[in-house]
Amino acid sequence: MSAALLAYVPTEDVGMIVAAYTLVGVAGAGLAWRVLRKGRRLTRRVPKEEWPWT
Amino acid sequence: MIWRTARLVAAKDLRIEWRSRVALAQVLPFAIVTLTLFAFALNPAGGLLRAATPGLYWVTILLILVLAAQRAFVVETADGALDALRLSGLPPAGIFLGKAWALAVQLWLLEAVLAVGVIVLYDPTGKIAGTGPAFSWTVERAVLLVIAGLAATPGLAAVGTLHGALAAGSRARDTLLPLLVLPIVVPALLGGVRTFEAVLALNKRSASEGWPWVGLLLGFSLVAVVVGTLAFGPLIEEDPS
Amino acid sequence: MTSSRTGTGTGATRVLGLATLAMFVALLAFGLFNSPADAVQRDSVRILYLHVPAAEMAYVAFIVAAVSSAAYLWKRTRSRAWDRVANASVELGVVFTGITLATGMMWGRISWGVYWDWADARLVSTLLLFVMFLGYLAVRRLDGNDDQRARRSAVVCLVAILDVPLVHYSVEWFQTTHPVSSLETPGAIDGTFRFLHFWGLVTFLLGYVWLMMHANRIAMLEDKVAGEDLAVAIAERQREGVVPGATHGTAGVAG
Repeated sequence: MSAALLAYVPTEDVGMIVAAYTLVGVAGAGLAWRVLRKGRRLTRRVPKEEWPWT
Repeated sequence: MIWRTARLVAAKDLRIEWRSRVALAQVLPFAIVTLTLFAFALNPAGGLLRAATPGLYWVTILLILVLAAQRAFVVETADGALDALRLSGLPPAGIFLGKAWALAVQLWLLEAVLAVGVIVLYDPTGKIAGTGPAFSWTVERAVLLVIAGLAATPGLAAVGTLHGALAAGSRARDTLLPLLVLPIVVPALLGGVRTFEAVLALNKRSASEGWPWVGLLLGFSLVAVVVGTLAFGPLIEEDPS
Repeated sequence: MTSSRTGTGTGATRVLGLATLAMFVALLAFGLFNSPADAVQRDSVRILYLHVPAAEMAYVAFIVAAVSSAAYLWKRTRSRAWDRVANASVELGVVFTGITLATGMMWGRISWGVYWDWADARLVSTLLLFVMFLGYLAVRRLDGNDDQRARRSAVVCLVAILDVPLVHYSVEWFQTTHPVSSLETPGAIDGTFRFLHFWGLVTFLLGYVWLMMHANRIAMLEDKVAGEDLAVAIAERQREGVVPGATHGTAGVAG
């Protein structure tokens, strides 16, 4: 990693800041996983010709 | 037509309530028990109970509101009475205003009894604890207390009626209604508490400081009644079959 | 990437999803490493790059839900499509509100020294907004047919949206010692903040659109499957001769 990219690294309250970014990442990933899994399960039950969006 | 319907529905509901005595025999005792528990929880000798009187009073009113709103639609769903009312062709706005009015009348009575209760039991003038401010009842204080109750209650009744209808007949009603109603009536809680504080001269408030809060209570009631009247129609309209 | 056999993805959503992912990774890099600490807020400003866009997206999601709910309640525009949009949007709005509250509390712990401040009207009204829409999600689970559920939840959504300004205003008035929101202090808004705020907002917006598209497709499929299941069940009963005259459909059958 270049020095420029690491020019500024948080020095105070790192734990809290990392926790905030982790929370958002996990929430986003969780939502995405949930819709993709649901979609996969449902599309298996309905023939492709009948998918309403195609 | 709307007003006539409202009068008829309100009269019907109040007659049922009067005959069954649920408000008198169950809701009121529940309120008294709640006040007693608060008195145990907040040591009266320390002056804490006195300072918390307005908040405890209004929280108790909100708990009563939830119970009474549930009750108002138990009588409707029991024998499919709500369906009958809906199919009767009466204007939904009239049904809503009638049920809300009946609920408001019950709340007003309970509020009056409870107000006397806390004033007598909670030592709001601080005489026992010896922590009271210079306080004596004046006409303005008494009027302010009464007006605050009069102003807040139509809004509370409208919110309770709308959500009572919404949850009516569903199995989850008893747990759902408090979750829906309580966050919405927060403005009434804040206005009611501040007005009562002004009445009791708590936190160095003078009685005249209460009047703007009565304005908030009136505004809340106005919004709640208008929104409830408009929303009730779509809520109970006949299901397409 | 070629189209897979199953799943609610299409070319458009795949592009959208990958763009969201890439932008979030960039946001991580910018927010955690490549941006200097703010002069006033210092490192705590890094949380605001998430907090502020999340709060704004929560508003967007709830406004979309409110408009859809109103469109459902209005008879001339009534359609299942509005109900699907409202439901999906509220679900995402609740998540955004949750993120707003959580990151706000983390930021408050650093800046104010406490997680929560009851004197801040914005905090309190956001919390009540969160609770009201949890109530909405509970109403979605009530028994009843599709139309009933849609009407009930639309009413709850509109009432909640209308009540929030009233709550905010009364809390603000209630707390006479209201602190000036730190977000509004001039030092906090500089070029870096503006850029990263915009970046975060676009990232969250793309993620919102991506999730909405998938959720909407799922809801359409669910309607279809539920309708077919019901039709199959009725046909079976009829064959058994249990329901000889079951001729009229139920409101739950979509199409």
